[in-house]
Amino acid sequence: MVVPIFSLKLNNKICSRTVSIGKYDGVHPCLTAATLAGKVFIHNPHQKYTFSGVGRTDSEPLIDSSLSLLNVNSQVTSIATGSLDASNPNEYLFIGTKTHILAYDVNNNTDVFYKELPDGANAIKCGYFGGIKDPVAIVGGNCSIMALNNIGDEVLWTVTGDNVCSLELLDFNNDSYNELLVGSEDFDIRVFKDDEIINEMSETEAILALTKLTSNQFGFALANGSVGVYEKNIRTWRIKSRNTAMAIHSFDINADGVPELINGWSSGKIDARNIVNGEVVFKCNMDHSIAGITNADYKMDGIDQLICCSTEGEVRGYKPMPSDVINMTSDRNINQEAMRDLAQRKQNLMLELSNLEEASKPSVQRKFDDFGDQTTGIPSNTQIQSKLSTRLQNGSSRGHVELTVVTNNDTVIRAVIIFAEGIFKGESFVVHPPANRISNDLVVPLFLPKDSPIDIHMQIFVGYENSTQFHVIEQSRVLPTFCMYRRVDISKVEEPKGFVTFMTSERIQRIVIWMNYNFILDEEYEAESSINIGFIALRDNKYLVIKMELNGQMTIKTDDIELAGTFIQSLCEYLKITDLQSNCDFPNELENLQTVLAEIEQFNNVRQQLTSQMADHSSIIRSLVVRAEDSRLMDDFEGMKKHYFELMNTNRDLISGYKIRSNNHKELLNHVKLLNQVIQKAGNLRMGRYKTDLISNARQAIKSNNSASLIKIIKTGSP
Amino acid sequence: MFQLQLNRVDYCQVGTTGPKCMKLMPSLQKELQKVVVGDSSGVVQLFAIKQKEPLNIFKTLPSKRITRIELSGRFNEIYDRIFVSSLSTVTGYTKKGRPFFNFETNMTEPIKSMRVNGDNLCIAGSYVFNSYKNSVESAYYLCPDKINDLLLLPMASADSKITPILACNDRILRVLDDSIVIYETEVAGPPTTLSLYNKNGGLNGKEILYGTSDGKIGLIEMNIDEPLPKWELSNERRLGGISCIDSHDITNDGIMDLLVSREDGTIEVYGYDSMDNPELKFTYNGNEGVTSIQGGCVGSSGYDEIVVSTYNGWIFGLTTESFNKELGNLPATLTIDKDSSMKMNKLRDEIDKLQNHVIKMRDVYQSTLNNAHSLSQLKSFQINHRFELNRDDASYTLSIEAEVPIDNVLIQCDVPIDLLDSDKNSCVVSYSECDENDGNFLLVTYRCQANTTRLDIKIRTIEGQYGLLQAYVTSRIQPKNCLVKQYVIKPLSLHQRTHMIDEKRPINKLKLSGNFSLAEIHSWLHYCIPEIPEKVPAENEITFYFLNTFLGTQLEINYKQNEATFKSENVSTISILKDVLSKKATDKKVVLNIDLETTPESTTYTLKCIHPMIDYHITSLWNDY
Repeated sequence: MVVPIFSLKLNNKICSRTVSIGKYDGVHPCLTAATLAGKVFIHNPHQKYTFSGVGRTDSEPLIDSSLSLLNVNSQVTSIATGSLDASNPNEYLFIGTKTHILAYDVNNNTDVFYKELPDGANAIKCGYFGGIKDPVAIVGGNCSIMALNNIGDEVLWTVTGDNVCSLELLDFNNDSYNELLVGSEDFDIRVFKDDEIINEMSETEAILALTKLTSNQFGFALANGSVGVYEKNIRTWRIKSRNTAMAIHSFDINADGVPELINGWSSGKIDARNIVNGEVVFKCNMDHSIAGITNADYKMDGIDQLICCSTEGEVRGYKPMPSDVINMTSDRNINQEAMRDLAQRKQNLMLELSNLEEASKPSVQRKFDDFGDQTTGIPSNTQIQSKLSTRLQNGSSRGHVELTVVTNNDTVIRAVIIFAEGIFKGESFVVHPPANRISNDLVVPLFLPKDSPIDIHMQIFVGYENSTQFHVIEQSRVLPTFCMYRRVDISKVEEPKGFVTFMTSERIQRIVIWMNYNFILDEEYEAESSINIGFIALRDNKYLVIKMELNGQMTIKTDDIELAGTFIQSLCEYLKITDLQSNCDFPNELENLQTVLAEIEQFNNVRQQLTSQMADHSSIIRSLVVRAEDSRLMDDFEGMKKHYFELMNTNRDLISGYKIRSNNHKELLNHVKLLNQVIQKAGNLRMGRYKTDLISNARQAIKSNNSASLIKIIKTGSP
Repeated sequence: MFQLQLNRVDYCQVGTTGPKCMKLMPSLQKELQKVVVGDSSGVVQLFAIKQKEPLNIFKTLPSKRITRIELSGRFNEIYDRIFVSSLSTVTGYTKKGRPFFNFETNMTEPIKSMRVNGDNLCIAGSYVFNSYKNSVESAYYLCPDKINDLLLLPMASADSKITPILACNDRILRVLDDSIVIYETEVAGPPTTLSLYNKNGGLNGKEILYGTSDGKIGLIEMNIDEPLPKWELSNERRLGGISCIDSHDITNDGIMDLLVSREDGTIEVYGYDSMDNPELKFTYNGNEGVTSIQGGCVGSSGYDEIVVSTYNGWIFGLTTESFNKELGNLPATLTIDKDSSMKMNKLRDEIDKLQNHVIKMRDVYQSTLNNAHSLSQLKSFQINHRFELNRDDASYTLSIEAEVPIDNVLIQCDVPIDLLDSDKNSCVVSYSECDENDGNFLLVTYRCQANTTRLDIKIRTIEGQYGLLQAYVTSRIQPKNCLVKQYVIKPLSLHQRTHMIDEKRPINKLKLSGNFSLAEIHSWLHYCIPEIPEKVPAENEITFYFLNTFLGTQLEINYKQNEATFKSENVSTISILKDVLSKKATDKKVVLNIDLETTPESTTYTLKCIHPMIDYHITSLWNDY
């Protein structure tokens, strides 16, 4: 284990995921993090900052003279550092709260900008993005992303599927411009080139952190304890732990020229993993959960250190070392461990060998083995067939996909474990029939919450009744994207009112192939000149109709705008269509949208009203305090009592007013989120530049408060 | 305070080992000690350590699984004869590996424990104890509950009588004289291992150390007529059960220290304070279950160490020798590393060869798959498992340890139970939705990280809800197979045997009478309550006492042919017994007369017992807020 080269105790609790390093004077790195009490501290061991007499920042008696505290007086949700001006090496500090973002010039002790953000700032990232000339601060809030320039002006605005959890900038497609990676609560990592999504990767939980490793590799951490690495849009590896990864970072700890993915876990463990195969190359432990990991040349000796902070305010720095040096100069234990690993591998291989030898021996059935345990031989040609089918809602059982597994002989299936991410409560689903109902087939019901392709991994326990040992047969399958839709006779379909229609130059046959691949169809669908096919959704029994004419006009009829979007995205990906315009109408959704818009307006009015009320109240309070104090000085206790009594009442009003305001604000946020989501869904009905156009037009329409125009944009794609 | 620092050195890996299957040979002069170990494949080997590498002195051919290894010799001579027990045979080897003794015992059960003293040989199976003098049977005893270990007190002279002590699962140490029990004494938990204090039984040669399956250790002086308990260590850190105890002066201060190993892989060293009470000096947290532990000097002379064997067959030392040389002293560390890197490369080569071999075998295996007539036979792997109630927190611990890495464990239960989170395992736990109509109240998968071989799961049962818990253990080795282990959850699952009860409490009484035999009522009760021995005790009228570990209430049962009486202040206990027993009787078509006497005060009393617990949980809940 590597010994840290420095270790500090800052005596301040650190908020998870709010640790950053900033060179506020362009030279000296300062560790910056948010505390639990709504403060931000800057640790600068190299020189001292004084914040005396600054507006929002009260200077506090400091425990450590190298530590400066800034009062934000509100919960800090994100922290970032970076420069917004290519010519100025001084970095700014960005502090995000639920309602505002503050850009602060620490060196000059001035605010750069302070901006209200109705969507909040869940994540901030600073750097060059796309074709924008100067670095920008990118802020991710509830479903929205905006880029701010050095005076706080919005240079870009776009939406994403759900609340943003993490942001990262990297050159995803090697075009020498940075793309933006956005991890959100709907388990997706989206890649934005300017305001256009060029790639989407589905994960299995909310993406808590993203970090750039090399030019097109990045690491990610999920809320369920997974961490992993992507190279472009292909996942190279992923591991899952029972702890949660609190922070991930890229750092070359073993000095081999390639960065490792450093993970800080909620258990206090830190490990560094090889980015190619996920092997652990370094690990150590802190006493408390990790709050953040970063790197900087904190000792100012020309070599960057890995800096790890725990939630209790402990900071440790580690120096990179070649791995053989790590082994040589430090404990023999690492060697020992490596030896043990190797020996274990050898042991495993030997066991596998003896297993295989045993299994491939042309053997007679023996009842007991050497240890008196019963062994079970199953015929060598035992195979498992698995089949997918769809089941409509029937009485109390919800509509679902049915997976049937069958053996090809008299062996029975004791149980099936299915491992898959994102479709079960945990990561697994078990079917274990009672002992008297075991047979050679088994049915697994699957309820899929989302339309996306899902890998499932099955372990099937095969043996005989009353066996105490079973053969475990493993199989993997991919569930098609639209497996929760069952084909129904088109004549019985009640056509939905909503639709989206577009033109494609593709041959009908290719679309038919795509459909056979993405739906579960009992028999292959064939069509020559036109497509007219109906489906029923297993989730809510609503209909979906797909039509295609000979001239290439395709119509998808559904009341679910999201489904239509997923459909178009999936189809375009298959057919490699980069730009697509479409027309649509979703009467129900759009009606909802109108109510949402109306309610947003209403909430805004209420807010203004409440704000003015609050101003009134506070002026009353001020005068009451003065009058009560006056009465006290004049020994008029009667009057003083009266004034304080009034004061109490006004105060109570103020508090209840605050509660209303806060509820109102919460509602407002929810509605804004809904609005953003509708725009995103409408965007998904188009591809490429049409999608980008739609989103920027919609933003304009919202800004100008023009709901009629917004609806027209959603319907036709242009104002 | 003097801090004990021990470093792990791996020596070698043998097959899976049972408890107390590894011993250190005594050394004549100051030379290094040798290690003798027997494994489940029946191989006994003696090896010395030369330059960190094991050097075999002898190694027998595989045969039956070895259950114990003991060292002995003539009275007052060096104990360098190796006695090995397997199934029903005891074999003796000289230190050169020459078999000089082979004794086929007349045991009907496999030998579980063995001790040799001079020309006395004592062995015990699960219930039977036998002793032989010069290979002639001299004593026999049938124990009412399982015998976990056996110990002989040191003899005063070569001809004096032996005093065997049996550690029995009903929490009792039984002291024997020939074939009769002189006395019994209750200890804190089911004793699993016994050892002589300071290797010689202390000043009088009568002090023994015991370790229990719930992790407690105690010292007790076994005088001729009555025992004298000295001290007892509780298991506050909730560690695993004790697997082996040894005494050795590892701290080099002239006083023997206490070495303790546990089933969860923890190894502890205790020193003694001025009052001769033990105090913890050192803890090592391994992740493989330890089967035996011995203090000695094996790896390099002058450095004492603790030699450990694990269930998976690792033999390693925890040595006082320090490897962390100063950084300036690079050459020394470099040479060590050259050694180990050579070792590593050798291992890597071996692994590569094996890998190729395995790939070939896989093809062979694949080709057999198409043959409709052949059978695919899987070699079963061994698992060491235990399902036991802890008195301290009224929960069951299910520990599973396999000789191969575990891929996942599926826990299935047909009655509602709660799984408590245990920090020790690093598995990903996932609860699956289950349909109660299919008899599944719980379906949970524990997916293990690579190279996990052991798993501890804590379970809280609900009294009155009885059924079967099944664990499906899947190995990681291809072709994968899975073993099913079943554990019965009894109706009064949280009750534990005790030997003393408080007579003053208000009680409810249930009296059953009818036409049933003693064996019948015994088997019904065995079905209801844990820790009732399988075999029917010899007496005509039997009394047992139990304690509810969760609520602290007690139960007294008394039964004979045609009559059974139950007394408890907890009316739920009585009601569960009544329900289950009448159901059992109906199954057997026995008509029962039920006579129930309840006292209202008993309920108040029970509620008063529970009240502080509820209070405690409410306050801790508030504190969490």
